[in-house]
Parts: sequence; structure tokens; C-alpha cells
Amino acid sequence: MTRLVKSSKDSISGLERKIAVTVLSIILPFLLLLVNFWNMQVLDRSRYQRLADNNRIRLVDMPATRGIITDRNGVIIADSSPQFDVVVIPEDMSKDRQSEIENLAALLGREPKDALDRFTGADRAPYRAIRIFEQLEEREVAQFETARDSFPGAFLLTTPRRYYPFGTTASHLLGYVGEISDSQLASGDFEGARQGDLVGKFGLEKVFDGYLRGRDGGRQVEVDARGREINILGITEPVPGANMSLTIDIRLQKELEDSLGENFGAGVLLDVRTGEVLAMVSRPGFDPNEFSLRMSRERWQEILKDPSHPLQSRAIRGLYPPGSTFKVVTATASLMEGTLDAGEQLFCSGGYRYGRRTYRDWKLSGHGKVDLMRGIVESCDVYFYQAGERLGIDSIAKWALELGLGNITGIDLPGELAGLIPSTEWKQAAKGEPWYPGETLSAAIGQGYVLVTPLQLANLYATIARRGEVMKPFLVKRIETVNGAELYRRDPAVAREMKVDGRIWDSLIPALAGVVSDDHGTGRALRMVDLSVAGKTGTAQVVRLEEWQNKKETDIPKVLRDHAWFAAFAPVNRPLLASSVLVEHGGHGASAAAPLVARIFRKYLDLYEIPADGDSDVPEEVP
Amino acid sequence: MRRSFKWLDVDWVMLGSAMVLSAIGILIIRSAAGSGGASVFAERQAYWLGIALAAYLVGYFVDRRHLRRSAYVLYALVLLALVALMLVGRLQGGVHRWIHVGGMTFQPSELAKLTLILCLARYFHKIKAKPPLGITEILIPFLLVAGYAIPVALQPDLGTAMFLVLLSVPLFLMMGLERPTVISLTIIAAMVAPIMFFSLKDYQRERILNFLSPGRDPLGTGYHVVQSKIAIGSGGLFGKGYLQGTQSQLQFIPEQHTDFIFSVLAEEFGFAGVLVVIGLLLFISLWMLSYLEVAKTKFAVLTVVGITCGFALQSVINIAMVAGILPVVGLPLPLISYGGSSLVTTFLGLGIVAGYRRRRT
Repeated sequence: MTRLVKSSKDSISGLERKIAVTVLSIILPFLLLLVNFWNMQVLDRSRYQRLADNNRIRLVDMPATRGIITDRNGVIIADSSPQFDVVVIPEDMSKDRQSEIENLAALLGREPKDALDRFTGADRAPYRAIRIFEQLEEREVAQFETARDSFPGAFLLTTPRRYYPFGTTASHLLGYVGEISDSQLASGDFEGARQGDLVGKFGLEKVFDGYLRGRDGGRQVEVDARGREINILGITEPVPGANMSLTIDIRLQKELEDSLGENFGAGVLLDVRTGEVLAMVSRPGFDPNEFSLRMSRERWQEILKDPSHPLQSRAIRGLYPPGSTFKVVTATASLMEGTLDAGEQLFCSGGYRYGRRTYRDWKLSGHGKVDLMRGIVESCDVYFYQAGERLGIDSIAKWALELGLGNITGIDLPGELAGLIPSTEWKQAAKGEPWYPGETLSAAIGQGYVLVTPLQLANLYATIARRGEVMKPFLVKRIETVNGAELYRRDPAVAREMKVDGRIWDSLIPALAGVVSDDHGTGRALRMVDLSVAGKTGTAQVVRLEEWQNKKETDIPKVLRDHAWFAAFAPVNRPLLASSVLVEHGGHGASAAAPLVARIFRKYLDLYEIPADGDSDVPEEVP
Repeated sequence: MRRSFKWLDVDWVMLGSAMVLSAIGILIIRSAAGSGGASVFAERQAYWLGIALAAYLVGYFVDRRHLRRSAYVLYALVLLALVALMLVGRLQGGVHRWIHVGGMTFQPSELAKLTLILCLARYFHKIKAKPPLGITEILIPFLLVAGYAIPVALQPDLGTAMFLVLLSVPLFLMMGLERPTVISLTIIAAMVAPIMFFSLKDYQRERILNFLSPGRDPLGTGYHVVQSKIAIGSGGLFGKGYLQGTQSQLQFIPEQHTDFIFSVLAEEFGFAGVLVVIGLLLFISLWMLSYLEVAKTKFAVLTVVGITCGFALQSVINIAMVAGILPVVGLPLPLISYGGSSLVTTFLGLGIVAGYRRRRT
């Protein structure tokens, strides 16, 4: 029982007195506080009121400099350059704010409408600076400075502005920046961003916005009665964004874009050794510089409604039937499933009768007796119809997926599409119909339901070049702060090893090399003295009416012409480069796409030295 | 022992008052967080209020003996979190006060305020020596306080660390100290203070110097307090109206949805608003003390006193700081300031106190 007594409340001596003291010592400070607030808020109110009214303290933002983006050689492709903007602090302006802005607009020769919208639109704090005219030219700066006194509350502010010196080049990769939208602001994904801030909206600018944006600063300044800064009260220095270096070479990028010319389409150039993207083009493009300014609603609508979809990143989002470039997939499947031997000859008479239909070869006179080598070199359709028939669609699908098709490559850009590799299961789920065996024949030559992106195709040929090692292509090599601290780094790594018998490459790679080097090959355009190339042409059929069926490609209107493909890697024996080019409505791969690949390979040879000749089997390491 | 939990037994007066204050808090947070993403903070605080209510019920229904017996374990768990945060802070640099759990963040130093009281109450409950206490008896509670205060101070969050020390004072006083003990403690404090002062971070030292001589740096740290005072004073008797405070809407005031929220209230609702909030804070404090009547054990008495004094002390310090009477130490205003950890801890404490009424039936 002693324990109980000891720990009961009675063991505390003088409890009553202590409680009383506690009550008092709680009440007293609260009362003192009330007295203090009474003094401040009631007795001294007028003094504080005056201080509040005369609060001549203004807030001026100091935007952070966005990190620059360079190509693999340090060439700046997205810069932040200082620009002059006119800002106003509403509180310090003349009484008739509207006419002040209109006069200012007239002086600079600008439209007042936008400025007025910004001014009246948001519920802006009267002591916070509002940006009304952006990117003043030198002439305008001079005009403003001389007439400054007639515009109380207005002043110049230096703001770093995004600038893309290469204009439309690499536009789909870089993306663009724009004013943060209300929904983005509310999402909380843009830490520290405020209304009116520029944030990445597309492409790498968007994905890596957190690194590039930096943190805005600001100053608290005291102003005189005319709104001039007389004293800096406090300053928070902006923290500049981190700089990002990419894997692309802007010269290669430009060459690939130029080679597409006015054509729509896409092209990809990969470094086979690392998975680095050396160039990746989608045409048509857009000028990201247009977006860095406030874009008018009309212009934005115009871009959105453009039937050529300039914002569409065709290299990663364009879905096209791969055509004959897909034959390597059918070949891989045949060899791995054992349904065909590389040496086995099949007969091509120019067409293949299957069921009640004849599946035609592109060469009406036929290819005669064809083995795997000739089938690929001459792109014999009938050979692959028979190969496909023996495999069945699900075996083709299995090996297409194993080769990396039908799945995103995982490149560090948003919105990549996975393409489509059909199977019986897919058909039943998507169309509610069984798979018809005839459809297998179309799929075997890369037509019908099969869809790939240009990036997937380039990566497929890189995978073949690496004899079954699948790489994950990437664009961002490194991100570091202005002080050189590394924040992000991407090292090349093999993403996946195919489960495949390495000997199949000894049949496939020479065949692809034959496409270029053989006199009957479809890729003769790539024959180069100093570089051995292995590749494949492709023609993706565009659905069209019967009446155009037998016409020559050049007689058909452009929108109905087939898409032209070429995919390749080089040098054959020690591959460095893999590439794919798609020309929309270009006609035949051999004539429309292959020369473009030749051109980008040649450009690479001009810019970089290729170690030793690829045709030699002697490894470099051997002295 | 009867164990019939009746929902109607919940102390509706206390819960109601606390809810009213929290609602006022959310209202002011909405105003204080400015335009652009404003409601985000208010919304989050509302979610936290839901969690806080659950915490209240936990505190209310938890068995008293379990509470007492697990006091050391709770102390150790929070200590673990504090030390972990301190180590992270040491390794990564910067300030680390939050632990991330799922999508939420929690500040263990808030919870520490409660577990420290429980732990000290538990220790004094079982102590054999008769009060007043000598040096030897207070050695362990001293270590318990230091165990929390040191890692928190190293986070670095000096304001909370000092508050944790302050929090233990009422418990020591309830137990009673010998005169020599009081004297030697005073001497130690006088010796430690200057050492502490020079080991402070620059900005912390600035704050104290600014407090000691106002106007020393009117453009730097002192500037914020000046702005806060202008906000309070210009609020007048009835305030400038909700969302109409020029000082707060212009964001002249620092941390105005957390530590300085009271100046937003004072500006927009005037002395009337101040009276209501201070009145409610005082009312809740006294209401909690009334539970001493029904507290049977030493542990109960000390818990009630500790929690009540902590609540009242933190309220007074925060309001005095906002009014420029005390230096800026970074303590939130209970129930009102933005911050889930503080809200949940406060409600948990209220629940624990209210739980003593239940045992009478």
C-alpha cells in the first residue's frame, strides 16, 4: 500500500497552493498580452496606421537565370540572355493608370491591349511589380529612359530570357518554356514557382524543369514619392538553374534536318556504343523562341490547328508500319524458332497464293530461287510471306518484342509511344475478332497492323549491330550547377540482353551488309568508299484506292504515296552508328530515305574520325 | 474496472473550443498564404485537422496505465527520430526537421514536447525520495531533457530546444526543489548562456541582438518584427477585414502562415479578433487545469500540469514574439499556425488531459 500512497497525488506537498500559483501564472501573461495589444491596436493605432499607409516598401522580383543547354561539344543550344522589360508598380502610377499605359505603349510603338490585360486581369498586389512590355530593343530602351519622368511607377527591369540560337533545330528535343498555367501552379509539381514564372512546358525543358529553373530572388526596396528606388531594404539573390549537356551534336542534328528539307518525317542517329542520341529530328518543327515570349492566343491556336502537327515529335510519337525494315524481325524469328534454315531456298514467282488471295511481290517478275541472304538483299516479299506463314503471328510477335519493338525505348523524353506488335490475343482484345492467317503474311513484311516509331527502328538496328544487346537511348548526359557540382549524370549501360543464339547474327548482318554492297541490293545509295554500311530499305504502304494500284509512284498524288524508310548501322564489323530515316509520302525507301542516311553518315565522317576500318576483323586492342 | 466508452462522455466544451480555434486558424492561413496556390495550405491544414481529431480520440481513450507504462518507450522512439534527423542534417547540410511518411511530412520535435512531459511525469511518479528534490534526484530528468534538447538544437532549431527545457520547469516546480539545487542551477545557467550564445548560427545571434537593441538592424531581421508590429497596430479595434490586411496581403510579414500568423489575425480582425483568440487560448488552458480535481495519481497531476503549461507557454511566447516583446524563436501558435505536426500533437495532448474525466464514471 505504501507504493500507492507514494504515487498518489497526495504525495505532492502543498498541492493546493501550487495549483493556485499555476492558475495565476497562466492568467497573468495572457492578460499582459491583452493589455499590450490594446495599447498597440487602440491607443497607438494612428501611429501604426500612418506607418502602414506610408509603407513605401516595394517588392521587385529578380528572376533566376535558367540553366543553359549545350550539345555534346559544348555548343550552346538554349541560352539565357538578359533582356529589358518595362515593369510598373500600380501603387506608384499616376491616377489614370490606363492612359499612362496607353501613352507608354504609344511611345514604344507597341500594342497596349496585352499590357492592360495583364494589369487589370489578376488580383495583383499593388506593391508588387508587374511586367507589361517585354524584350525592349535598344531604341525602345533609349526612348523609355528619356521620357521616364512622365511615367511614374514604371521602370526597366533586366530579366534573363530563354533564347534558342538555332531556332527550329532540335525544337522537339529541347521543347519550350512558357508562362506557368494555373493548373500547373496548383499541381504543386513546380516547387517555388509563382504566377507569371516561365517553366518548361514541353520536351527536355519540361522533364528537367526542376534542374533548369533555379529559384527566383527578389528585393525589398524603399521608394520615394515618385516611385524611384532610394534604398534597398532586403535582397534575396536568385539561384541560377543548373546547366545541362546533351548527347546530340548540333551539326549532325542540323544536317539531318536539312536533308529532310520540306518533307515531313523523322530521323534518328544513335551512337551504337553508348545509346547516346547524336541527332533526332522530327519535321515539320517549330521555333521555340516564339514560345519564350507571351504568345498570342491566335498564334497558339494556329499552331495547334496546323494540319501538319508541328508540335508532334514524330521521332518518338509518329507511328508508321515499318515495311521491309521489319524483315529482319521475321528473319530472327525464323532462325530462332527453327522454321527456316539460312541456306534454305524458297521460290518467288512474283506473287504468293494464299487462301483465295494472291499476295504480290514488289517485283512482278519474281526473284526466282531465294535464300535468306537474297531474301533480305533483294527484299523479296514472297520469301518472307512463306517465312511468316511457317511462324504464325505469335512467334513473330514474340521475337519483335524481344528485339525491343512494341515497347517504349525508355528515352528521357516525355510522351514516347510504344507502337504496336499485333498478336492473336491483341486482335481479340482490341478488335473482338480472331486473327486471320492471311494477316500474318502482311505482318511478316511489316505491313498491316505493325506500327513502330522511328526511334524504335533506329534502336532495333543498334540492337542488331550490338548482336542482341538492347540499349536505352538517352539525350541528357550531365547536369551541373553553375559552380560545377554534378547533379545528374547518365552513363551508358546495356538495358537488356536478348535471349538469343549469337550465331543468327552471322547470317543476318552479312545479309544487311549485302543490301548496300550487293549489286542487286536495295540500299546501293549507301555505298561509300570509306565506310561499310549494313541496312534495310522499307516502304510503308499508305492505304489507297484500287485505281492507284498499278501506277508509278511518281504519278500518284503526294499524300497518297507510300512512306519511305531506311534503317542502317555502320561500320559493319565494329558498329558506331545506327540510324533510321522516315520520309512521309516519300515513295520508295531506296530512293527517298536511303540517301538521307548516307548523307548523315557522311557528315559524321567529316566531323569525327572513325577508328580503323570497320571491315577488318582484327580487334583494335591487338598491337 | 469498468470500460464502457461512451461517445457522449467526450469533453465537448474543450473539443469545441479547440475546433473553433482551428477553424479560425484555417481561415487565417487562407488569407496569409497570399494569392496563387493560396488555398493549398488551408486545404492541407483541414486534412490535418481530421487527423488531429483522431489523435484526440486516441489520447482520450488510451488506458491511463498503458500510457504511463509506455512513456519511456515513446520517449525513446521520438528520440530515435530526432537523432536520425540530426545525423541527416549533419551529413547533408541544411535544416532537417521533418520526417517523410508516405506523402506526408511530420516534425518529430513537435511530438517531443508531449513525450517529454509524459516521460518526466512517469519518472517523478515512481521516484522514491521525498520532495523537495536534491541534485541527485534530478540528474535523470535532466538527462531526459537534454536528450531531446541537444539533437533538436543541432538540427538546428534552437527555439524549440530552449522551449523543451522551459517545458520541464513546471514539472520540477510541482515536485519542489531544494534551495541549494535552485542556486546551483542558476549558476550553471549563467555559465552556459555565453557559451551557447557564441555557438549560435549567425542568424540566431542576430535575432537575439536585435531583440536586445531594437532598431539595431531595421533593414534586416529587425525589419520583419517592425512590419509585424505595423500590421498589428494598424489593425485597430475591428481590423481591416478578412483578406484586406495591407501588410499581410503584401507579404511584408515573414512566415505569416506559420510563426507570424497572429499578426495577420491582428491586422485583419483587429483587437476584437485578438480578444477572441487569446480568450479561447486562456479558456482552454484553465479548463485543462480543472482536470486536476479528478486526477488521482502523481502521474496524472504532472501530465495535466505539464500539458497545460506547455500549451499556455507556447501560446504566450508566440504571441509575445509576434508583438515584438520576445525575440523571434520560431515556435508555432498552438491550434492556429499552419503545420500538421503541431496541430496533431496539440490535439493529442488535449485528448490525454480530457481522458482523466472518463475515469471518474
